[in-house]
Amino acid sequence: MSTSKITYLGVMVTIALIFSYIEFLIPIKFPVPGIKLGLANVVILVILYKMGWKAAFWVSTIRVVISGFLFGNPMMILFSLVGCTLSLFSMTLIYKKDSFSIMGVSMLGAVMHNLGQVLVAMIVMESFSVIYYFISLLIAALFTGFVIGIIAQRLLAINVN
Amino acid sequence: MKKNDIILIGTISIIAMIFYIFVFSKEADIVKISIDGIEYGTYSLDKDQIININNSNTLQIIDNTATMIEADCPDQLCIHQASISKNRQNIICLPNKVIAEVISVDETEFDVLVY
Ligand SMILES: [Zn+2]
Repeated sequence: MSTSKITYLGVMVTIALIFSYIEFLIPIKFPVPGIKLGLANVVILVILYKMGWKAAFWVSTIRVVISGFLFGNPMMILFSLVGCTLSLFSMTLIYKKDSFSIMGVSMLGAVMHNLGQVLVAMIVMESFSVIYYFISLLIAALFTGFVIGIIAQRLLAINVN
Repeated sequence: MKKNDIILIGTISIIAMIFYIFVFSKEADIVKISIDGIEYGTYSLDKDQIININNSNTLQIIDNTATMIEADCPDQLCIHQASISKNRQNIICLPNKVIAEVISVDETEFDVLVY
């Protein structure tokens, strides 16, 4: 990895952390830790499209661990890691073939992010009923995924070199 | 937007819609409380009452609606959750592993003991 690439990814982690902080300040409380708008996913999407899934994975993971220590707790890190990894995995599978727009990729990512968190919650709570919570959030995930996708699309259109 | 985007939105919306129409639309009659996956108790939503759950959480039932009003968990997320009254809605307290789920009885066998 070149120095400039590392610097770039470092800046991206920082921006993602700022987004996480903004979200931390918005007082919308969800019971399963980490389910939220997912502003940080804007950064992950941009990196995925620009540099591929490996770079996106590292930024995502480092962001989750640092923001977990800064604004959350160890339990939240576990939930977010599973959610973010499942989200990135699903987005990686479909983004390249150009059969989905970035909004579609982002929407699937948002749904899978919630699914990952709910799966961890099901295991922790030893309860199947948590899945209903995921279903009730499906439309919300589509909506937030769409908004995040549009923002990422605009950012990708700006060419900074 | 591409064709696959529309298919994705359509599929997920239909799944959500089916649940909203056939599951979440019904009024719930009972609240089932479980701790650590083990059933703690089932209570009628028809009776206004305050339920002490294992000395860690307190659930209040008023007008067929359940609300978590007190908890000793560090994050206090459960007491900020909305009140529940529709079939299969739930309130989760993750640190205490407490889940309160409201259910419409016509979809359960109702062989459970209801207080
Ligand atoms: Zn709680």
